[in-house]
Amino acid sequence: MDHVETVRISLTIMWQGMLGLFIITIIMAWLTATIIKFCKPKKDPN
Amino acid sequence: MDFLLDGIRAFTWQQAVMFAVGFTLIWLAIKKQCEPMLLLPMGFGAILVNIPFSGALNQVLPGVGETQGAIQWLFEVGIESSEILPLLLFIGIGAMIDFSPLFQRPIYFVFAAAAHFGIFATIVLACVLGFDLRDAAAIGIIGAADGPTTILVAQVLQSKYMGAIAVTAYSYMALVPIIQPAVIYLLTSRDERRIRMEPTKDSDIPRTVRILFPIAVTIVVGLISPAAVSLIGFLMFGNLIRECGVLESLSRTAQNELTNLITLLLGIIIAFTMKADQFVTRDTIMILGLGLFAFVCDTAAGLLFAKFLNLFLRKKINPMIGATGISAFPMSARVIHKLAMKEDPGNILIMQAVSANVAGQIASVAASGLVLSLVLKYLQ
Repeated sequence: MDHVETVRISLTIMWQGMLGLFIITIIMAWLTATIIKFCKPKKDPN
Repeated sequence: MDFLLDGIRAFTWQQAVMFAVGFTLIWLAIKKQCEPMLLLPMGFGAILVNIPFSGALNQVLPGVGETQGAIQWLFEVGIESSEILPLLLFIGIGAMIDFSPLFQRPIYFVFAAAAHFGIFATIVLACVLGFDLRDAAAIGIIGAADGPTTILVAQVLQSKYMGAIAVTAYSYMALVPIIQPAVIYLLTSRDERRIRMEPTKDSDIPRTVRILFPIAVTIVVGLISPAAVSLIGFLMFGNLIRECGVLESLSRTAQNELTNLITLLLGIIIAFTMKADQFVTRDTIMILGLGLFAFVCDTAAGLLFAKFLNLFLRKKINPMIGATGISAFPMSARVIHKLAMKEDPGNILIMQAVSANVAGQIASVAASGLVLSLVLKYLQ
């Protein structure tokens, strides 16, 4: 793997990694909020 | 009586430099209290392994053959062959983390993603500077601001710079109170630092949520980034022990005895990679510079991401919250809380800062898994 190729791959890793990380964190945020919503005790309407 | 002088005669200037490094680490640990639990064993270990013909390393003795050195054996068994020691430490860390602040503000997960940009930026810079992809990725993980993760990734990628990487990571983690304020002052105005955020009334989180959370995180991160399964799995296993409510004794053991024992061993074992011939090189200086770059980029990216979100939000976020998305817990949250109080004594951001900071602990592991997956894919 020559130098230019290594730098090119590192740039690909950068954008794919950041995109993957944002996807994971957004899913985690959504999932956490959903779990909390479903597990919260229902308020008594009376 | 020549044998009395063998060690002194074999002593090289590189080993003298490593003694100085060892003394500096011990001084930082004791005098400045910078990560003393790791820097002190690492400092002493650096001296141990750099004494000529050190019995702490494997040696070939005339008439006897090869003898086992304790530090080398511990390294080969505990880190090289299975990476088990950093993983066991994750159980203890998981048992210590209370995710409650994050449950109040799950959206703060996104700050943790932004604040790990330093990892990827550093990988690119390391490649530009001539490091090969494996070493560049291992160096980039310094930006995760997470010691055990850094050691584990460097080992999985078989980086020859593990010692320099570990020392750099722990040193800069200890310097978070200096690095983060400098970047924050550079990139934010006083008005931005004074932005008040509404205090949220923390509600009780049902136990079911606390139990489901570590399992859900493991499955989601594991499915997207299988290389991170052991990292995230051990971390979340520790958290499940803590939150399940029926393993109090195990939880206490994981938080105290297990963590202390592994930390004690890990520091001195990592010193195996601090042998003079591997450590005293121009590359080590470059790794120190790249580590600083990673921490600066993390803080800057977190800040700038929060400022970017503020363009669209009616209720503004204090951009300093973005900088707490790193894994250095609770130091980063504490730094931002103090900065906010300094600018405006009535501005209490601690709970928001802690929320982003604990999210950072999960994100650092997820980011490391992604780096491993991507690098291994391109190395095929």
